[in-house]
Amino acid sequence: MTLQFFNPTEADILRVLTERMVGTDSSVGWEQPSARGTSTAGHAPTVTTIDAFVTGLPRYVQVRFRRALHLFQWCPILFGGKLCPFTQLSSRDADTYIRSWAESRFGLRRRLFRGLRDVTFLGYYSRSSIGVYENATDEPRGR
Amino acid sequence: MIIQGRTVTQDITESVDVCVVGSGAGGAVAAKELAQAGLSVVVLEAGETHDPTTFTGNTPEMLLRLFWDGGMRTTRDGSILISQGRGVGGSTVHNLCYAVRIPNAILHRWKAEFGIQDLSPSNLSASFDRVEATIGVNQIREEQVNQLNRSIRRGAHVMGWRGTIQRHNRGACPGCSADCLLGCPISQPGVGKQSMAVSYIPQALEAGARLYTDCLVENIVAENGHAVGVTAQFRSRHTQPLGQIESTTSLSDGGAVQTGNAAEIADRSSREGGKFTVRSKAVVLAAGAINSPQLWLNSRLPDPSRQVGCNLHLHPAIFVGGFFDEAVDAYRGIPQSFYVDHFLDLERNPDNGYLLLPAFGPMALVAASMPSFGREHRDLMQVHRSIAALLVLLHDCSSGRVTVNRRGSPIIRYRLNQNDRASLTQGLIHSAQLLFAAGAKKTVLPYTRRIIMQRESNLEIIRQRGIVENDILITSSHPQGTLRMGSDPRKTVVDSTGEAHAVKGLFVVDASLFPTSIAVPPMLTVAAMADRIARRLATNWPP
Repeated sequence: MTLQFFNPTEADILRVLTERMVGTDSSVGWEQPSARGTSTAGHAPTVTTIDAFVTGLPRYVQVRFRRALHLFQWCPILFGGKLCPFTQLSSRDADTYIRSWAESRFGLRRRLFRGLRDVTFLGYYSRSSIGVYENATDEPRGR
Repeated sequence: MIIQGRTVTQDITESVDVCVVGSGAGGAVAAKELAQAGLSVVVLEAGETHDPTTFTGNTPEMLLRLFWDGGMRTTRDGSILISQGRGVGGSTVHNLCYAVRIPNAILHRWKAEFGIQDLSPSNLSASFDRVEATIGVNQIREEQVNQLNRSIRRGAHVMGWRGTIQRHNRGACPGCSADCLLGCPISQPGVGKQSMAVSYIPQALEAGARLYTDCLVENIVAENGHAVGVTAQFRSRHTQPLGQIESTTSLSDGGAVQTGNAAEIADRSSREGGKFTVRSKAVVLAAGAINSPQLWLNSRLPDPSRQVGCNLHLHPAIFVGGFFDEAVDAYRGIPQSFYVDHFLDLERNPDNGYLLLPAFGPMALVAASMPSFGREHRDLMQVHRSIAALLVLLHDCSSGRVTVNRRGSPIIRYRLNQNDRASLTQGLIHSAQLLFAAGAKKTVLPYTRRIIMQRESNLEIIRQRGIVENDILITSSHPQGTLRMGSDPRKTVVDSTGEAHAVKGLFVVDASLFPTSIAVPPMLTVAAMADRIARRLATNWPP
């Protein structure tokens, strides 16, 4: 499905962000991330859900979300001392970088962390195919 | 009659006795009472009308359909997430149906401090009775209390704290799930959630009121100090679906999983349709405590007291999760039936206190309430069936303000004072104590850096961490107080009949009226005050 709001670069940021925020990676087997930095032709379903949600938001929220995404993508250079964008960090460095936002002494960085985190959760846990509750037998799936 | 505003592409003008702005707990009641009194009434609603059978329980879809800004509205500093209903029925479509009358101590305080003589408990009693009959308020029965609420009650009992099973405005209710928070799919008269959309609004329409949806009021028009109508803009949403997101599932009454059609999330970015001009003898403002002052300010109405938009209270709330050995399955049944009001002693301490409410919701919202990210977070979510959670709901004396930016959009400023920070912190500690008393093995708080406490942990760690903006998730569902009521026009915006001091013929019937926080869930009080104000207006017609 064609994305309505995000461009391929942004979709790639979101996809990697979701992997790290939700704690899924290829070893878990729930969601197989494609290679980092590659084309996003095969968008992860979570990104599609987030895209549909953000498309329906007021313009001012959309603008803020887009800015936050780009800020997050390019700030490893500023805050992490890494000369590469977020999507090209190793898993360990990506987690360290995210934690630096979550625990920053600057309220704005904590705010952006929470905003990005919660939107990825919204996309991820609203998907019916997520088997995160696999230890239960008759519970609702992600909605 | 309901007119779908998104289908109106031409400019239209209408003349009526009363124009009601908003169709939630205040607007719906006022519209019904005024229409039944024989006045011609139009109701203008910014959102859409809902067919409850289309409520899918899909979180992103329903956030977009039922909430302002898709549920993403926040205070200016981003520290408090404010959920407010949008659409016919307003917040009564998504709220969790606590039907609580305003405490008498609050009314006595309003009389003493704000000179409000008209709203004594006995004066309001008849209005409460009428509202409760119309929305079917009834006592929640013991067999309707789910495991989550039973666990919380057990903990309160062990601690020796006061709490009671509450009343609610649901009819026959199978207690299907925590998706109640995203709209009740079986809602109809006498069945399921008795929101304004299935109670007061149909009665208003039957009495002749006309309801325009997708109609955003831009200005209240006043001439010679008297409100004479409004101007509005119909919003014509793009209606093409974005396509099938994915099939969704829902939990039926019996616990079986049903697979339904995919949620189609329409592109809700809207374009403008026709303009709507309403000429009226009175305007009733019921757009909520954020949008009502916004509309006032955008209309450049007189504000001699300089109190319009001030005195905002939010009932800030923080989630505390407890993990049990056994399954709690908190998503099953009626989400909230019991609460602890032990820490609300308004006679002795009118400015402080909090409620401890059971809390649960759709998985995406539960996830957002959990701390941390990545593996740590996922480990918590994997045992979601054993989570029981509480909300600390603060009776806040902190005061914020609603202003507008150059585009006319609301800016919400609010900062907790030291007193309220201390109360919230104490509420978190009490919540953890209650959860442990109920049998929890560990508790978590929604700090960005997680705090997990075991039974033997020193809970003073919470006090050390304190309440810091954007360090802990704070939510609000009860904005109130931005057009406050009182007898002194120098300090308040409307008088005790609900009429604006400075603009005759302009009446306010939503939670912006409250001069202080009312300490309890406000739906019933908003509706009762709207009943009283509307009936008085009808009796003394014309204004």
